[in-house]
Amino acid sequence: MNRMIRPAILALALWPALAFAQASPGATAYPEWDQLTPAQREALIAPLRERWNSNPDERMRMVERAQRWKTMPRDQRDHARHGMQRWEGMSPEQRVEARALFHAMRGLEKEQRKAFMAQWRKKTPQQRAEWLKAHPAPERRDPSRRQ
Amino acid sequence: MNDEPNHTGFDDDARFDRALRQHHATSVERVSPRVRAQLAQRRNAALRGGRVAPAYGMRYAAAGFAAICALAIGLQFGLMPSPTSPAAGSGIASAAAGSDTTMLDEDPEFYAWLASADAQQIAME
Repeated sequence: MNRMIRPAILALALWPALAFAQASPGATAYPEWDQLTPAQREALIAPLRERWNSNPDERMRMVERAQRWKTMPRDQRDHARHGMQRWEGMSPEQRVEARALFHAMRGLEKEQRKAFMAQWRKKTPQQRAEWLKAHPAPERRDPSRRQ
Repeated sequence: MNDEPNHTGFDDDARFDRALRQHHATSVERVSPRVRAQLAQRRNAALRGGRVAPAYGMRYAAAGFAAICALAIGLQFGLMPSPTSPAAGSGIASAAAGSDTTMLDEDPEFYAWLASADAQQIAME
């Protein structure tokens, strides 16, 4: 009798975990690209096609960025995805500030970066606004200026 | 005239009854002594009004619950949208409209920097 009851009790104990695993977002994972239907592939490509067709001046940079995504090491690509999620949650003002700070800091050595950040943290909002006005990030729509 | 079929029917019933009893006796003889002892024990317990197998209720409850769980799993798989369903396609479309175009908005190095410790310290809040 116990031989039947014990597995049943074990199964009941594991049931909530199984149910949770099935209800988690990972359970709704989509298949590999090759297994998607033509309609699903079309749905994925459509926004990109629309953007490509409506922004002729951006095409070169789109290709460059796509190639850089492709050649990035996997860990750095994961890092970039996290940053992209942060970017999507930012306000327009925060984006302007982020782009300006990135371009100001990208060529600096480690010690210089630390000093820059220390100075930045000491600045008042007014001083930061003045700095941003004086050191804007390169325009995004100017193809002659690489960001 | 009318008694004949009844009489014949009675004989048939008796013959059928005897045959069945014989089969039963033969079958009982084939049952192992151990099983027969268990059956006798349970019959005595039932006649005394006691509970022969208190765990039967628990066993039936577990079996019932397992059946409900199996049904729930089946329903869950049945209700999951298939990859070819329109709902799945629209879900992909809405996801693609966001991240895929954002991906090419800025340099990937910039996005990586946004996730770096440096950018976290500056915060941009």
